[in-house]
Amino acid sequence: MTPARRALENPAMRSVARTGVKYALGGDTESVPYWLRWGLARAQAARRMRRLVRGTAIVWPEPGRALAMGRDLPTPGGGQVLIRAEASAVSPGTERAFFLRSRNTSATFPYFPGYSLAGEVVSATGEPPVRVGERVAAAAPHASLALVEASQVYRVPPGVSIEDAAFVQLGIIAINAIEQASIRPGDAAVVLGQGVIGQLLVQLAVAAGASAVGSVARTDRRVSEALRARAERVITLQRDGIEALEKFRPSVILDATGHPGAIPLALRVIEPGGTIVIAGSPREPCEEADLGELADKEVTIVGAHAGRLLQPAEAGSKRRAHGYAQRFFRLVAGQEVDLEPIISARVHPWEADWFYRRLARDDDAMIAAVFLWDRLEATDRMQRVSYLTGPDLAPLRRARKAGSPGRLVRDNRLSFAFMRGRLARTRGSPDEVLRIGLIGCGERGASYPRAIAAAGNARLAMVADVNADLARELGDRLGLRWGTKPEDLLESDDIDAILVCTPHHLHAAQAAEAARHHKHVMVEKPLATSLKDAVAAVEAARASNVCLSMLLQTRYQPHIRAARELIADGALGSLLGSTTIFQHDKLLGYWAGGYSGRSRSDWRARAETSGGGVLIHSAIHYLDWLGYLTGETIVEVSAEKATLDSPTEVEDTIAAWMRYANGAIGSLHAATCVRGNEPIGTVELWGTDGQVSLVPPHRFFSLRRVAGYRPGQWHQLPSAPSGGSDATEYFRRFAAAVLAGKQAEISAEAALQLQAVVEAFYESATAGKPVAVSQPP
Amino acid sequence: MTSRRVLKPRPGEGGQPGSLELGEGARLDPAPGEVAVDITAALLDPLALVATEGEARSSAGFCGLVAEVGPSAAEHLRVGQVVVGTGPLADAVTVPESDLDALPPDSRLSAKQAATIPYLASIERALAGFPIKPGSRVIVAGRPALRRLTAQLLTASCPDASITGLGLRASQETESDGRFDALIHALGDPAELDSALSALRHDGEALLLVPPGRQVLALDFYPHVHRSCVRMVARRVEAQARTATGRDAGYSRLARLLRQRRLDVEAAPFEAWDPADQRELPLAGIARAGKLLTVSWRAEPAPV
Repeated sequence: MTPARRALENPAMRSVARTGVKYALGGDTESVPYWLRWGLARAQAARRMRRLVRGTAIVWPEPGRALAMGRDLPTPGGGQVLIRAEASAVSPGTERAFFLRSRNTSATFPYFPGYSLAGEVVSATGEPPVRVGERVAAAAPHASLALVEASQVYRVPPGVSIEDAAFVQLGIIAINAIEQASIRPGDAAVVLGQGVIGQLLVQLAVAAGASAVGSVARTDRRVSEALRARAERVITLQRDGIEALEKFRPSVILDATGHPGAIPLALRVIEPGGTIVIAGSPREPCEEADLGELADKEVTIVGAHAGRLLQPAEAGSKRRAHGYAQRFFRLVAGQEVDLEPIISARVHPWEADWFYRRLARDDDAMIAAVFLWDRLEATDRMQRVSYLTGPDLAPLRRARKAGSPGRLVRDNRLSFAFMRGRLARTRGSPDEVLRIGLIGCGERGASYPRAIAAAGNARLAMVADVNADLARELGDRLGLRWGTKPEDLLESDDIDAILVCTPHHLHAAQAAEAARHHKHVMVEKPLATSLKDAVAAVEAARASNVCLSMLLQTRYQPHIRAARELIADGALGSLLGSTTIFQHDKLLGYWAGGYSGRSRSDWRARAETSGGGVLIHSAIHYLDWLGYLTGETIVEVSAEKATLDSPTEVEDTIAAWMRYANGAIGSLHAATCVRGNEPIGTVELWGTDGQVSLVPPHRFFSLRRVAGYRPGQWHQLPSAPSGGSDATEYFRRFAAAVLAGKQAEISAEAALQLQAVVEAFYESATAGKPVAVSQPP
Repeated sequence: MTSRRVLKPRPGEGGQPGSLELGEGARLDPAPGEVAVDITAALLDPLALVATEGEARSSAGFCGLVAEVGPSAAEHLRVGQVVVGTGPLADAVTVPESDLDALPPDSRLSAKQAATIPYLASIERALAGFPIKPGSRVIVAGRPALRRLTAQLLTASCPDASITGLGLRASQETESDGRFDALIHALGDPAELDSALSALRHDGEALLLVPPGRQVLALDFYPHVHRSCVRMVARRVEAQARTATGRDAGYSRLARLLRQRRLDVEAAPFEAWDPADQRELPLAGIARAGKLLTVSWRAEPAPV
């Protein structure tokens, strides 16, 4: 360690320097350590008359948070090499403990994690034992660049991939433990723990000649076929019990758990005269062990911490480390050690925060992981910087703002291509056209002809309404045949599909009738006023083998589609919660004739004909979004509803919570008596890895690198190239599906599920207790 | 059948040593293969008395004169002969002849010295095979009496090693952390072990001398055993009849070392007790101080 680095690591010196830099920076204390490192790099470079390069490094600014940011290094001095990393290996157990600042860890934050990487030498001075262009592995933190003493660099031989070579330090740790165990042919060896070191130890114990090697863990979440193939016996303590381990009669036990209960367990089951090697790093004091048992069995306990071999200073340690590294490479090249089944995740450095949070949740399925540095842009991996170039503090600032909207980042190049690709997949063939008949020429029915015409693969063929004036007006306006009875449409051979836009209570029966006439059916929402009627309609459609779909066209708004694709790509992770709000000031006239007054009727205000108020009229769209966006199903709801300030039987206010099948919890608040509001509908979703806010300006934040967006900052949702209104998109997709002989995207089953949720809300509000959502047939 | 004086251990609270109380017991005639011995002096390990109860075999050794030999007894045991062995806490015992060893001729030891031989032999047995290389630096820590005997035995058997028999506190005061190649810890209070291990260098060796019974320990293996890569073994120190090093060769060597005072068992930290003067003896303080207890049952005969 250089004197400058020693000074940097000294708490007292850090404090003095911190205070000085703090005043220089006007009190920005969080930036101080980065300025100190920035200054240190320049001091080192100046002392050796070297230039400076900047790479990207993983840093933990504080416990529990990670980010990737620029880090400067001097070009190599005498006996040093500069490595451009391609992969760095994560040791999950150790890094998780340090990330969470667990007991027995010594990290000072900001902390640069990692200790094993591999890449290519890009610069070397003097006469080091390696040359520019050589593939090497070394002990260095997770970063795209590493400055390492040449004597501590291991050449990667042909036949070993750079990704495997990145595990060299973990290999040294495991080989050191095997050496300490002094395994002899015929020994029955047991490895406690199935983390990365545990799985390496199993393979190495087999290679060392143990006659039988057992692998033991609490659960079988990390057991793979590869592990079963190597280990003679895989023991899961929860299932098999300790007795299974005792029957194995181990004479050597390698503890790679770091668990405080491992030593007492090992003492209990080991054969007299055996050896227990501690390869994992316990984070807690050992659970009470009986030293009498240790003595009576004449067991030897050996510590196998490989710290001195990882950055060896003395000649003896260097020799051992090089020997172990080369042995590790030979075993990998000879396929006696196979790392492929052990690597659970390959991580883009920008996703460091997501990755470490996942690790912090104690994901048992994670065995080992690698950061892949070659996925970065060339300039992010390495670029020359000057002495005057300031530190790269942008990621730190972004991380500080992660809890607030901050400045939205638009990336039109990415978003445009992203959406165009998605859109292209939805277009049908222009040569075929779906012929549609419209039942109901009131407010909703009269609003769709333009959207149908714009779809390109559908056209309106005929309209009908019991009100002859409405039918005639619309038919004449569009130049179409018109009728006053549904049968006029249903019995026409030149109509393929029916669009039902009548009052709610007529939907289900008319849809069923259309299906019985072998017409495909589109129903304005809701499908019915009750789940029972909705089921009848769907069963009729199934019996006639026609498509039945509900007009939930708002899901095709560009930002909703974009959000869905991002969520499908992992932007949210696992859903944790949602809020849904709909607010509107519905004027008195609406209840007597809708917004337009085209059809004078109070059916909207009456419970029997409408089936409900704000929930079934309006909020149903947002309930649809929840399932459409997340893929999760609502399984239980609890609601309160009231008619507070509207001349209606149906509710004008509803408040509710809902539970999703995965355990997430959401809330809903909808009202049509909110003075001064144009319709406002917002949904916010959050999950383990991010958040999507469908509140203008629509935006998202994710720890994952999805669709090319940089993780860890807010982005505006991409704007799709418009192919027309959301209703146009609906008709285009429905027509494309029918013409292709496929099920409609908004299927009868989806419509039923939504109907079941709506009914559960109303049932709960009436009963005054939570209600489980029915599973419709 | 006549009576004899016996010591009855009374357990203290929380598994700690309680006290020894003088009482009366029946003296048994030797059955075939047994020998009756009048005890002159005995050695007691207070910690061993915690692990054993009543009149169990709980002395760490005794020296006495053969009073009566049962039918078919071995020829080498005769009435009036000086013997050492292990057995119940009493001034007269009847034990299987296999639990006794005749002292080598011309030993010229006091009874108190001779009574320590089985215990010393158990220490030797525990040390056997523990690798101490010439020139290595060894620290012996833990219970004072056992630590002292161990250091003396090591000094006698490993003249090329540097043996430091210090108390833990002293070892810390000399800033010995990380200086020693090997640690031998006479385990009394397991909590002391955590500190003692810090005296070892990286890759050092540790031998724990474990008293009888359960010795539960919540040791943080990380800073010492794991991080310093220490190799640790544990052995019992529990006087046994016919110890591995017993009889001719081992006992002769131990007797010689005692005679030469290279093994000093009469000075502190040994506590002497004469039951004739005191009927009850609290043991907690003796145990806490890491002392061994020598009991004088009869007047010391001429050195044997």
